[in-house]
Amino acid sequence: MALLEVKDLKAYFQTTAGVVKAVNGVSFEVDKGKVLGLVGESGSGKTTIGHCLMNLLPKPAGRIVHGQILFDGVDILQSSEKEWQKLRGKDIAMIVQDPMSSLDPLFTIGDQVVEPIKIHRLINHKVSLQNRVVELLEKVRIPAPRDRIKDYPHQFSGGMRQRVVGAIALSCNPRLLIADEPTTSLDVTIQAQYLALLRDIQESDDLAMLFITHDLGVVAYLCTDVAVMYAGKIVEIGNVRDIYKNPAHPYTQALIRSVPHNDAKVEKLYGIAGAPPSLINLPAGCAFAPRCKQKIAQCETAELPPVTKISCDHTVSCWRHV
Amino acid sequence: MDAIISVQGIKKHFPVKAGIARKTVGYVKAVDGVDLDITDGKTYSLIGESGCGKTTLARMILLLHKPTSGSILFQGKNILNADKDLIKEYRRSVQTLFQDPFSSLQPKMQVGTIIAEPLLQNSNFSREQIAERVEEVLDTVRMPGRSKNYPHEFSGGERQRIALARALAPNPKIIILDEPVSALDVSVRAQIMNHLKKVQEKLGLSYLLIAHQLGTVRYMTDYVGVMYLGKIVEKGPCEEVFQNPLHPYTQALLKASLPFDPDSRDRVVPLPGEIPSPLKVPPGCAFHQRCYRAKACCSKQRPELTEVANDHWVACPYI
Repeated sequence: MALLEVKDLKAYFQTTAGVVKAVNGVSFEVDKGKVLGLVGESGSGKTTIGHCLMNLLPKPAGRIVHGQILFDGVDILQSSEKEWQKLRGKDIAMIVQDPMSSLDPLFTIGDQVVEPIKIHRLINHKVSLQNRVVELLEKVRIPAPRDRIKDYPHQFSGGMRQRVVGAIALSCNPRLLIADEPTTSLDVTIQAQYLALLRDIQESDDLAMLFITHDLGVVAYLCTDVAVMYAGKIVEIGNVRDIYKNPAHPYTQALIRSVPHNDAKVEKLYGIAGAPPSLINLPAGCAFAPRCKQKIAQCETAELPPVTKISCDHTVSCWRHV
Repeated sequence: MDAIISVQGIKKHFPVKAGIARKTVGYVKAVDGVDLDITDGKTYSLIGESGCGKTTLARMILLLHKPTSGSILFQGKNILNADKDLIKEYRRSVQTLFQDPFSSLQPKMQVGTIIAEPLLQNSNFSREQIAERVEEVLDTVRMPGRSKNYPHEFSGGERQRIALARALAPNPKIIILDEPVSALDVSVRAQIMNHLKKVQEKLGLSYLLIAHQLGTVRYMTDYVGVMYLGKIVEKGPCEEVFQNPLHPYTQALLKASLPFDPDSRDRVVPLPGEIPSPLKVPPGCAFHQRCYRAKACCSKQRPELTEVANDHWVACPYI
């Protein structure tokens, strides 16, 4: 039994234009020590999944309409809000893209790192609290941490702020860390530092991680497994080597062919013509069919492609593989 | 080949004022002595991280910032003390494409009007000629007949093409591309990059490309300049610099960039330390504090760009 098991999750948003099926039947697992990359473009549903896992969908418009989220065997979708508050920031933690919107500019970073520890009542003694904050800042490799506890977010660079956010997320020793595009706004060398840090912490703490991103370079560096999302569904999921060396789904193949490499000259890149479908008016059958260069007759019927096993840890939802 | 734009010794120091009397207490040396030439039909790229000065440099070329010193020559003439007519010609010839396709198009104007605007401001075209030109450039960007639509009716990639049509309308010689694809979805980026390349080939345009993603730069560029804290530390033909980086900063940048291969993870070597603030540029070589090759004299003497081979220049005496 994996630490996190998501089964047939559906999350819809009620809008004046109709029901937006943001997450439309998604299943995956993440175990201790594994990093699952959730890859997709805008509107694929990946960020919404992150919010579902923390039960933070904007209400009343957003609702989880179907499915289970099993954390340590327990379906947390059945939990009360009180039970969720005990989970959030403690067993399941999250870091997001823009550190300036998750750090309060009016409080010192010491106050912000200590906040979850106080709320979850893990340590009460003042000196121990302070020592724990210093320990956390050291863990995220902030230089001279004891001197920086009383500093404010604006006194840190972008990369350092993102590490402070990491320290807050790690403060209560979570078992699952959800990272939503944490390096998108960082410079190349700072991103490399931050990802190396994340990797070291993930390995030493045996964390389960869900890494949400559109950046295939980051996924190749950090993830053990990858789930590719399109229009609210996972179209392919497997271990990272299989996905990169033998992508099975036409969308995955097209995505890989559209990305320029940093480390080699690519003669030609191929974009994907057309645009993702409206999540209010999804086409019948496979959502990618209208843009797919490999479609067959079966693809545009009303039936959704079943999940086919390509190997023990590689599956794809595509009629061509049935 | 003659340069269309030749930037020489350009500097931009922003004064920092403090106190009640607003005295100048220091300078942010955003650009601190840069030379570059943009030649016909080629793409010149600037790469570098936050604070390196590439955006400020582009703004000076667009005449949005007045340089502190140095010159910008346009077809051999100094544009910084030119008469009105030359400046008008310069503005027609040097256009730009911005990063964010959602805020660079006026939401209340129809696409046709947005594209016509540079012509209304700066040409002697009649109304009919302007209308014809608008249709022509919409055709070039493969969006014919869309002049009566509004920006919100288009996707990010389509808006970027509209912005490109606007840049093409006055028939420029150079387009400055400031992170043209970083705000777009991954699969759309390839489309836009291919489009930019096609248009460049068809019209013989030059591009000055500013991008932080090395893959984008490598795909589109003929000649690249690597910037660090306001100076160019290495420049040369793109493949030559990428395959044979000579400056320790360029090497570090390339080693820190992520390969596309899960089996090459251990090739990534993060560069330790932070980029110093442009308010306090280290003395001598600005990179010496983070450099594996640094020697005692690196903190005393600022290295000049020297040609090492085949138009490949480096600002480091110890390669």
